[in-house]
Amino acid sequence: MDNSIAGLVLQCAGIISEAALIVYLARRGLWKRQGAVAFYLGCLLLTELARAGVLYANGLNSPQYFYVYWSTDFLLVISAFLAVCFFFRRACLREERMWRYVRLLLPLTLILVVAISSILFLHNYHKLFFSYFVVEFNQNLYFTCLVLNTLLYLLLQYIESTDDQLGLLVCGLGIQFAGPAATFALVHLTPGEAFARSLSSTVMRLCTLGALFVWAYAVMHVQDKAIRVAGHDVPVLAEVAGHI
Amino acid sequence: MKNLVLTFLLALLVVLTGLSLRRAVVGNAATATGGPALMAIGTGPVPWPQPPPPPPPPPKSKLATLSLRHVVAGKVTTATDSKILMAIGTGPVPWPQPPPPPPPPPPSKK
Repeated sequence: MDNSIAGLVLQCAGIISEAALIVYLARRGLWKRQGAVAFYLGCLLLTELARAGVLYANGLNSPQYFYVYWSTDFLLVISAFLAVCFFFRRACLREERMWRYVRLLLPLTLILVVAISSILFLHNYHKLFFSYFVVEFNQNLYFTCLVLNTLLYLLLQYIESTDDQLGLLVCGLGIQFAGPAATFALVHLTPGEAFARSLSSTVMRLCTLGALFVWAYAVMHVQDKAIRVAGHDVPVLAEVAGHI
Repeated sequence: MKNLVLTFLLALLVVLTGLSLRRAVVGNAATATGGPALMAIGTGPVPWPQPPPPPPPPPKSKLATLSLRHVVAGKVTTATDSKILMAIGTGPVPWPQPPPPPPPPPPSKK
């Protein structure tokens, strides 16, 4: 599928959706209120443009595309982690006592992922730094974000949050993380490398599109209750970044 | 201090759950170079890590001997070809005999 028209359509649809959502946020002046969404979408759009440029200049199997793809994946996984942190902060706007634990938990989690990835790398020091440590770190942080996102969803249910928009944003991230994981589990049960590559690649891209559409629906059609009720109009992303 | 320890344990639990989930989902292919078992974000095609190239075959120690033999004896190197087999010793060389010719067909009785 990678070289087919369908693959090209998927890539173009992703870029257009991201750009449209960013333009919508800018025109509505939602940069501050939806800081995490805007930040993540900005990173995603920049990444997609860089990847597309290198892909069509050098080809899918070129080392340039390989390095650009997995380097920008590092940027994306960090921005996804920051988005999860932001959503935790937003969920705990009226739960300051819980936030005291969460703001310790999130940096500790990141430090532990770095430490575990480093230990694995030291045991394989003869391998290339990029192709082992960076990719290994990305994968570990992905699955950690999946667990954190699930915890966040459970937290929203526990505190009976009325912020429907936040619930949908968390569900969007859940599609991004859990969809490929479920596909890998399916692929693991059904051997066949060519089929696995094709299915995994397609599902990952569809999951990114699905997450974008859920976010677009959440931003455009669901009322932003939490910020109005709590009366917080501060850029929460800056606060979260300060803690980390 | 107690809160810090509890939070650290919770963070450790979160990370280990993530790693266990990764191991459970992708099985033994959970290495950085492990084929189609890598998650990524984005709608572009995924460049899967290529497996390392296979090691070069070991040098053939008999290659020179075989080549020399081929040069000296030509392509007639089978054990049953006469007069082209090397031997050590001073006795007469019993060249391998060619297989006996097939018996003539029995005369037809008219």
